[in-house]
Amino acid sequence: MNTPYCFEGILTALRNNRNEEGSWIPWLVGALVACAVFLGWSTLKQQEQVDLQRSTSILLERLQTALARDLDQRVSSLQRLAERWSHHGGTARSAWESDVANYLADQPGYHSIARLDATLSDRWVVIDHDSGSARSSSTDSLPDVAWLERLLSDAPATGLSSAVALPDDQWGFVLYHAIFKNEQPDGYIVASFELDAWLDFVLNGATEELFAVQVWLDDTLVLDRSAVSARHSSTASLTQTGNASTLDQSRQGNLALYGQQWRIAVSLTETRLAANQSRMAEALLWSGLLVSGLLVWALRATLRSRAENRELQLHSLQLEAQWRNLPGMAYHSQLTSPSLLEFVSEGCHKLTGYTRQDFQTGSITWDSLVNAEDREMRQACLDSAIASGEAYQVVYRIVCHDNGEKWVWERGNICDSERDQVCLIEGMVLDITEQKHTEIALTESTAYAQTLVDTAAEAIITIATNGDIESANRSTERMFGYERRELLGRNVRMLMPEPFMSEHDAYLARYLKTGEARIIGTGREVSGLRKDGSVFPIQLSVSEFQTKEELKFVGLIRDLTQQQRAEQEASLHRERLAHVARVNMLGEMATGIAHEINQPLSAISMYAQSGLRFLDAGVPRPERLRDALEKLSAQAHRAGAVIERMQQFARQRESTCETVDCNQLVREIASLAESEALIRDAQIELDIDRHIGTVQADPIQLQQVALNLLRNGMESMASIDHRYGNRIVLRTRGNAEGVTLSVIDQGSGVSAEAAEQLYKPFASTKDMGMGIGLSICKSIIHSHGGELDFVNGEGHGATFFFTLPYPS
Amino acid sequence: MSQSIQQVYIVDDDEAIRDSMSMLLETIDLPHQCFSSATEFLEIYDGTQRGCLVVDIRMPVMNGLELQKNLNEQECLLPIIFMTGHGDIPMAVEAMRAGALDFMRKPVREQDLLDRIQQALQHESGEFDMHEKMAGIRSRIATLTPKEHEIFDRVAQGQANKVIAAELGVSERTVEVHRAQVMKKLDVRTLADLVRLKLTGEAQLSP
Repeated sequence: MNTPYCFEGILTALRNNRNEEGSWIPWLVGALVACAVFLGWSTLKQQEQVDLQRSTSILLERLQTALARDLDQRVSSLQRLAERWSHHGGTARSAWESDVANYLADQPGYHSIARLDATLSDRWVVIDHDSGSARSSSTDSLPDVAWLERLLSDAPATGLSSAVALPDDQWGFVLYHAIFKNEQPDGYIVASFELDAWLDFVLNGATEELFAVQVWLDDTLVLDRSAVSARHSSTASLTQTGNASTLDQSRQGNLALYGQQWRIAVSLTETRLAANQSRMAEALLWSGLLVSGLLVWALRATLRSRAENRELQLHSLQLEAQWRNLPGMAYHSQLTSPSLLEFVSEGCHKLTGYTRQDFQTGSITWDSLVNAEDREMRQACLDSAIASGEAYQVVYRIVCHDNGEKWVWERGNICDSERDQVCLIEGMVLDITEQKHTEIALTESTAYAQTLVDTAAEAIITIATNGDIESANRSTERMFGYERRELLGRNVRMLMPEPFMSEHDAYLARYLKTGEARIIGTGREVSGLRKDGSVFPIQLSVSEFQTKEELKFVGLIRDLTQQQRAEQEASLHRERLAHVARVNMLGEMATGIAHEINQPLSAISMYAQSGLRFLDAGVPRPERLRDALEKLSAQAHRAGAVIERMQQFARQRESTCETVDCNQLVREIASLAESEALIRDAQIELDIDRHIGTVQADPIQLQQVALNLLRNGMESMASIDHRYGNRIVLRTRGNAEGVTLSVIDQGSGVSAEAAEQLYKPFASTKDMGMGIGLSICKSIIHSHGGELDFVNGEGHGATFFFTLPYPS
Repeated sequence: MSQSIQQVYIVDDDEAIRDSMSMLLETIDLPHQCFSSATEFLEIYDGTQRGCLVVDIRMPVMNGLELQKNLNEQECLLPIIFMTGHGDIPMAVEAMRAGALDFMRKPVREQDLLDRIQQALQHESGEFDMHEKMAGIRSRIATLTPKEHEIFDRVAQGQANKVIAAELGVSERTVEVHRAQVMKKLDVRTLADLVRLKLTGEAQLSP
């Protein structure tokens, strides 16, 4: 669970280690490796212990089985011997001896084999001559008779004695077997064993060097093979076996054989092999620790170098990026071959379109890129820099890969390379095309502006805050009649008539103090004063601009003399046209007018007739007569008034400017159109706002406009047979800016095609129309500073309206 | 039918015209009444008025033609003389087609106007009598039972009693009794009178 995290940590740290932050990593790795080594070592050790213990156990088991098996074999061979004796009913001593000698030869370890008769007195003893004890002992090496008797007295047919001390300080034991002759006991076969030799044979050298073996027979230590040196010294081996390291691994096994208790103890001795193994493990441990130490060091070194590398790389990347961000490139070349660039920064591609390789391999030279016209100049610059050893800078054009031209600024110096003692030119080339273009554009625009100012039809005058003229263009000379030198430095008020002349300084002072502008920012019509004293109308607009040092004002003056004359002519023209339109309209209204005059005429006629009849009847009734005549007179006046009104409307006259009450105007219009409305079955309604103010206008012209709109509306309603009704509303409304007069009809509305042609002269939707009505109306309203427009109603009807501003 | 005096009803929106015409009619002692608009006249009109109407064809709100149409719908018998300030032929034609008695252009010649008014009054008088007579005939015919009406129709068509009896499946005697009853109810003595009465009545019924 921990390990993956650990590795993860290490990997992460390796990946983004930075100097000191990851310095614990090598230590950690070292410690981990050391731990692993130690763990391996201890496991090895343990495994070794276990192995040894196991082999000890195996050996013990093997010894036990070997002992048992060998003893069994010997017992059975003794039995066979006994059987043979029994079978033959005894043999001759020589035959017996040769027989036994074979046995002895076959199975080492015997000390002697003897036949005893039942009394134990007759002994045929055959001693193994190979055995060590036999060589040195007498023939009568068997235990004494008493001991044998004791042994055999109550024992079974086959038996084993406990340990018997043999001559020569040897331990032995005795194996016996009863012999029968013709079913009668006829003595014993007694085999005495030399324990040492027998065990040697049985154990078959398995104990050699590796193990210490101790054998007890009936609690008597009969064999002690603790060590080579102590092979024959039981006491010495006992002390040796007391050693803790060997006792730890000792194994003991008990086994009962033929009535005797055997105990075998096997333990590991300090053998060379074990020591070797241990030394190897030790060596492994130390070399492992050493390796981990080395690992720590190597890892630390790697990390550090990596970090350094990384930093270096970062630096070079930063440098690279910085170069790349430069709007140009850096280079160096040898002084001896200045056109071959040894190094160029990456910016060269962006700047010129050629790659670094192109330059560095010399396939393209910098000189060849320099515009031919500038080449000489740059070379001269370079030469003088080389001569003086100073830095140089030069601006010139280059031709790029795409044949485009760029302006560049180069700065460089001559320096000695530290590396190989050559003179280098180190330079930086920046793209200044944009700046250059801006510069050129600025120059051009300045020239353009100057030309504009000089050729402008308007007079352009710049003044300082004290009113002194700082500049004036040519038109100013022409317009005011002064020469420029007469104007510069003098106060601008010289160009104004009274009262402006004396108040101008105060205007300026007030503006500078309060910021309250009268003319600045807006245009205004004022008067100018020429050198010859004549006053003329001008349009003046002033704007201010802040230079570095101070505030300045620029005045733009347009001579309005011509314009005003043109306006007057246009006005006259408009008046004439308006008159034509009015007369035309009156013609169109003839039916209505006739009706209007017919009414009083009919009345007059009838009053007159009535009067005559009163007279004819011969019954003079003066009061009736008088009544008739008075009424007759009134009707005559009425007719006269109608005609007078028509005349007024039709008269050609100069336009006037009077105070006009639009409500009154609307009422007059309604009465003018009344008879026509009657003829057209239209009903005129007035919707009057009593709170509107008066406007300054030509009343007749306004009447003309309103009447025109009214008649158009009625006509529109009649043209669709009053499908949507026959009401036409004249409405006046006022707001803060001025008065709006609307004519709201219930006619067909204005179609899109008609709307396009609406104000065009000589375009009419009416069969008999001249088409000057609305165009003249619009022109009239415009000349009054107002607007004429319309909106269509929803589904039907249209509202034509015009606005007139209140006099300012 | 209680109001039997003939009057001239002047309908004109122009006060001067009304007043001067009123004065003119006064000179010949003709009873008259002035109205400033068509609606004002319609308010007092209940079918009992007798005489004639002098109407200005152009008036605001309701013009002369509309007044005429309204009166026609009420089966008004009053003849109408239209006046107009200018000759408006289409309107005149429409007015005449709708039964106007005359159409006069302003300013009118007073004598002409008075003559027309007199004619109109006479015409109205005749019309009125005729109307009265026919109303009498119709009311008499209305008193007939269905059977008598059947026999009245057949007799008026000139069928002989015998034929009528055969077609209706009644006896000739029954027909004779019914016929006598019809003659008596209709107050006629001869067959010719009966036929005339029937024609007159039918003419009225389907004008």
